[in-house]
Amino acid sequence: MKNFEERYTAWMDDALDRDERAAFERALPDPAAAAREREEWLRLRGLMRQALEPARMPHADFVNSRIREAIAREARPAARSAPRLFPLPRLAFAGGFLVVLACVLSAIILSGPAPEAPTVSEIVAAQVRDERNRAYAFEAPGRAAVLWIDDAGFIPANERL
Amino acid sequence: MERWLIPWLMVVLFAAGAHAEDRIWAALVLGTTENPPRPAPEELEPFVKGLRTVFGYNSFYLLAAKEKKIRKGTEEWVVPNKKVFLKLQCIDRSPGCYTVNLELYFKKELLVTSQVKFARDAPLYIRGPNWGKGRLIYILEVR
Repeated sequence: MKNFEERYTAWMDDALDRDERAAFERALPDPAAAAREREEWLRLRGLMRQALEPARMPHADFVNSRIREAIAREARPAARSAPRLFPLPRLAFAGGFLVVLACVLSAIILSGPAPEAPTVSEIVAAQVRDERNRAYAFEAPGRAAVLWIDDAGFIPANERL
Repeated sequence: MERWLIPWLMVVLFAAGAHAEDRIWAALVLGTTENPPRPAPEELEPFVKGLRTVFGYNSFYLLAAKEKKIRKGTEEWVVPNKKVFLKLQCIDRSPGCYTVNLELYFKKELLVTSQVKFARDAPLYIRGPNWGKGRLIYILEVR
């Protein structure tokens, strides 16, 4: 059973059926004042509906598509930056790097300690063509070696090299 | 991805460096005695002290210089001219050492043959023929 306020609101909104409406109007203490109030409310409601009707947006499809694009654009980096512990390309790259590193290190280790490199150049042998000539080998300052040929020939000063 | 490139490059460069080839620098120098002594060219400065001690000259002129890759089996004519020729043939290579056969020709005749073990940055001086008032000297150095 509806209380008075509910029935009054339904009557104001013209939501009662004919029997309920007649019964409610009979029960009103001041039907004339209530009728005025109802007319005023209906008029006001009409005005409100008119005023609050949503305005149509110009080029609504275009604006809609731009908004969708912006949403998609912003969603992409978010998806990319989603934390992935070991993405496949990075794993493959790191694997290749480690294989090459292992090969290089293995080659270094297996080759063993490098033999002591000489620090001075050394003349192992020297032989002159002419038996009367002589060739000597000795060390010189600056870790140098000298190949000394006694008779190495003569070029006159006026001859060009 | 870029940050992975740096270690990659380091490994590749390291591997390449391990097999880098040395070069042999050869120069033909004229040593003379002059008063006052002439300053040596910049390229000869590291050798001047040794050259003075060994050959006794106080002025040195760089007549020609060349730098070439040295590899086992290669044969090179070093700074040749019309009168003097020096032929080098690398016959062996061990870490930091090249064994080279050399032949010095004077006026197209073989003057001397020699076998030299070159250490890196340790030069070889060869006393060449006299030229005018000075003497020709070969300098060979593996770098």
